[in-house]
Amino acid sequence: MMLNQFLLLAAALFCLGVYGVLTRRNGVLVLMSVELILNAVNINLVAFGAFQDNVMGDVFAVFVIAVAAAEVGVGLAMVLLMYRNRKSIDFSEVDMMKG
Amino acid sequence: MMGLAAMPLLAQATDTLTRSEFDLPENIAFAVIAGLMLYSAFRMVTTGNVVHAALYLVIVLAASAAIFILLGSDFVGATQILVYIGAIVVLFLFGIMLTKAQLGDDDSVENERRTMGALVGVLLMVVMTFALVDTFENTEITFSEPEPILYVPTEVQVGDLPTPVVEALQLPADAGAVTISQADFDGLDPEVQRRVPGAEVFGNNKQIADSIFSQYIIPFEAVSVLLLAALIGAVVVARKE
Amino acid sequence: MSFLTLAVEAVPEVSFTNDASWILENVWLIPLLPALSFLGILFFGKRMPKGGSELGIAAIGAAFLLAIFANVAWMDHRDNFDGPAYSALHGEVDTHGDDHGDEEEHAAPFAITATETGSSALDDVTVSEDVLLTAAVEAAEGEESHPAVAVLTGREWLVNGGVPFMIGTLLDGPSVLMLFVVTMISLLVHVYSTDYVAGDRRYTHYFAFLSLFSASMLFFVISRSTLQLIMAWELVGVCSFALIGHWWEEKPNSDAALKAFLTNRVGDIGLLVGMTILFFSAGGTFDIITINEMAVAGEISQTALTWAAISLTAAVMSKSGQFILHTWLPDAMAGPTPVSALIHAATMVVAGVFMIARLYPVFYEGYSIPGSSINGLAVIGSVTVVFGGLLAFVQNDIKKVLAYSTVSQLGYMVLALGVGAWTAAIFHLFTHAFFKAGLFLGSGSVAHSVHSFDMKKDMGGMRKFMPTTFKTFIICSVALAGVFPTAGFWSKDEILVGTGGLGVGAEKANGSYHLMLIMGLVGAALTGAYMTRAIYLTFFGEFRGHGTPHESGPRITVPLIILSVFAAGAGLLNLPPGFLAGSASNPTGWQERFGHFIEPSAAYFPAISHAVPSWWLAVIASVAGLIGPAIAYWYYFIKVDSLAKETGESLTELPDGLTTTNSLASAGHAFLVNKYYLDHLYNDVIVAAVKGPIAKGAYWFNQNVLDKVIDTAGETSVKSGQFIYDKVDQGLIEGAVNGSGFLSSQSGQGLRRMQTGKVQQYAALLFAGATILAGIFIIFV
Repeated sequence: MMLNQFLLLAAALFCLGVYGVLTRRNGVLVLMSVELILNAVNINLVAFGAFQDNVMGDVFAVFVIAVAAAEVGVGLAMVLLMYRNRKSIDFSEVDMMKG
Repeated sequence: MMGLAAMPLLAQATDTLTRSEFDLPENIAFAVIAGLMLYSAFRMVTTGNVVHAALYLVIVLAASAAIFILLGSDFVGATQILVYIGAIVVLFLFGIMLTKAQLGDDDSVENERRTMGALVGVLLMVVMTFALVDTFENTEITFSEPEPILYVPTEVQVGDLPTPVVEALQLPADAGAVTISQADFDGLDPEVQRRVPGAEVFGNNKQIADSIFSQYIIPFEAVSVLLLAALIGAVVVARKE
Repeated sequence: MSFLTLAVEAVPEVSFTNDASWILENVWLIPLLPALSFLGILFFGKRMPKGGSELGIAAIGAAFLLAIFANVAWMDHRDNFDGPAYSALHGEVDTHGDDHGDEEEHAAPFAITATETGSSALDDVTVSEDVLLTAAVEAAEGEESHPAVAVLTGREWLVNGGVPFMIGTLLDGPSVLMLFVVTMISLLVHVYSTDYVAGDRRYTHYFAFLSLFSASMLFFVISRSTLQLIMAWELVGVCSFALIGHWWEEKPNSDAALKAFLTNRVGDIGLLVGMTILFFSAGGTFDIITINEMAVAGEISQTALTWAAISLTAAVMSKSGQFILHTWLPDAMAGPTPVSALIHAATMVVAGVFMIARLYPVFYEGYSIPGSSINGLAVIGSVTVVFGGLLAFVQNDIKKVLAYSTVSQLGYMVLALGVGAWTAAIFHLFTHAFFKAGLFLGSGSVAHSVHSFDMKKDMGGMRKFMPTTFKTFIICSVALAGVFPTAGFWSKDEILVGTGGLGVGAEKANGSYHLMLIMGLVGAALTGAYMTRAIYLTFFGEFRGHGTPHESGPRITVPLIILSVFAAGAGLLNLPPGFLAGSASNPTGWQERFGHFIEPSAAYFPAISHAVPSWWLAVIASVAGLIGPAIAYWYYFIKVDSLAKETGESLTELPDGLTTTNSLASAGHAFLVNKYYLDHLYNDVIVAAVKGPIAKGAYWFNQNVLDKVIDTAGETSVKSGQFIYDKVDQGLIEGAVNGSGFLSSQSGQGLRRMQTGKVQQYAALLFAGATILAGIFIIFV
């Protein structure tokens, strides 16, 4: 198999994830899109690990999965907090950073 | 749930077929998985139904687990299924439930920057495709030969041996205690070798474990601290005052 | 370059050793102690019975003791070291004149034992072979023959791109000196602070940062590589930011902290550029000794050195408050007074001066200091001396007077370094630390009791209430003004001699810096004048504030007394040759002991020549230093004071200056007449006889000539000070600063519309930008 087929798959997944992050209103959906991005990264790591014939890619993919779990936990907690305070998790309504 | 269904099949394919020079079956498997994955991912970021999005996410994650297994990383594939599908998706479903998301189709799930998002995505894809094709062109992944399975000859009762082993060695059923010699062991099919008592079967799991607990022990500890911090942080952020 | 050639050139060819007594090899303990106490106070300070201050004092006290040990060990090492020594450039330096072109340290030792036959080539033949080279012999020969071998320790920190980054300590004369000064001033400031900031809302925080501040500065002075220098330099900046903004709730204080930090950032760019130039021009090393040796040996191109020196000068201008980047220094008075004392005496501002001293070959060669009569460093220093002194005239805030005074004194140090008088600069740094710390702490003591820094509104007559503070303040002021025989006299005189200007006896100076000498003399006159004014406004006249001030407690007065003792006596450490020559057994006595121990006369230091002091110049300087105070004394202590007594008010200046001078004088005259009414009566006959043309003539002369001259001189200096303050300082420089602020504010308004506050739009722009950049990189790189 070619290395590029995995990398291009990951790239496509990454771009879909980016699209989701940029366009979704719902906070939970934004977080899900972030998961897509992280998965794309994982595919890259494992593909390169296989390409170089060592387990480093695997090890780092496992680390990324662990970090992703932490990220989802904190992210969802923040979305929940936002819901509790504003009764909405629509990201496009949050513009407190407006200059 | 096609991804999940395809997995045992793929695992078998990995063991028997991946090590060859040209691997049509694997490429077919890849095409199926990739297509499924991209379709699901696309649906996930466009569907109006939040719960559907979560289910599409499950498919994407399962498909990527399949990709991992296709690449010979069964451990990461298993972790992917356990952690992602088992834990994270459930967490997402909780999130959807707790934020009382509208359960049916919702027209306003996308904001007004849809065109811009699409543009950025496509641009990104073009740049990355160009870079990847330019850099790696037709680089092949060559899978190394699996390491021979270690075997320590031990005395066993024929009755305790699994049937495939008995059949492969053509042992008489009433032979009582036997010791399978190293030469006999080497003559066996790898699939059968695994089932002989005394064979040490670890695959690359052993290597992964070795490197996590030696070379990467500090990152590993850091991740454990990170998880703890995230746990506390999530509790602090989400609890009611 | 062979060994013998070097000996002929009288340049000691070794620089460093790594074999010295325990304390010299382990000086890293000294910054470590306050650094640990910083952490300790930060984490446990609030739970300690005294809020962490006891830990800070214990740590800095222990560091002070270690610093004393280090100094004692250094003195022994300086004179008696005979172990293996190395040169960064030549590596193995042995007695057979072999030249091994090795890089650093992988070298065989060079023994400087005088018993070895080869080593006598090092010195003149007159040195007998079994006599250890003593300072006396050196002085007799007029040449440094025993090199001051620095103690270098360190280990590889990391390797990047094949360049090893060493971390470790470089200990030599200026380092041990600074260890002593910093720990001592810091210890006194710590003790003083326990009273001064008692009950403060961030007492613990304050002591934590005081510890870190000291640790950073101590780390700075023993840095082995320029990277360490940069790190410590920035650490010092951060700590000063935190401490200047200690009371950040009030806007001016946090503004002042920001201003200090940002102004310093401007100079830091110069520092980074300079260090980068040095790194590349020295063939990729951060090692200070290597850079210095290469600069001395002429292995770095003149152009590179010049640009490095110019860039580093920018850094010094901001850090050491040189004109035009000095504006942060007076504002930095917003911090607590002990912090000001620390900043001005031992830590922040002297970092710049120390950096020049540390990388002196770069400046010495880069600016072509020897044989010249003008260079960037000297010009900046001399301009700062005069401008700083003039600005100090028009301040009503006592701390601002002292701040501008520091600016002016730092100008002296930079001037001295600029004219090649290295030892004089460091000696002035040393003496200045004591009297300036004493003045700041003294002003803090006064302010602590009247709750204000405004001399005109809230002070006056303090000598009656605070006798101890008054006495120490006077001693420190006298030392600052450079009156014989206090510390300031010796150090300032050495600087003036070192300029070699106008040929006033200063033989063997490095150049002939006429302008610098004149500016230095003017500065000396100004120093005395503004201190006289400050003393009058603070301690004389009648009390103008509210309540009843009282003398501060022992934790404030004891540091003041210690500092004033040093301010009075520290000058004796570096008596010029020919002054108080020693006994027969010790022919040099106390002559130039300071220079002998502190000046790193080794291969990594340029062969500067030492100016020969002249009695002439000392007298001229003393006279110049007394003219200023005399004028100020006349104006304040005689005219203003008498008017004040006349009107019964506590005045701070003459009501209208020159125009009212005559009426005031007549009022004063009338007062005199009234006072001596009885005498007048007694002597009526005699006086009546004399009270003819002579008295009238003398009176006319007094009123119209003497008064005018003195008044005009006073007025002119005040006016020019006011002018510079108003126009240059407040107008031009502040204007430039405000202008750039306005510009960025306007452009910010334009960009503001892009800020919708929508996170996802930001993310979209971020991704788009990153993608485009990535595309550009892929296509073009």
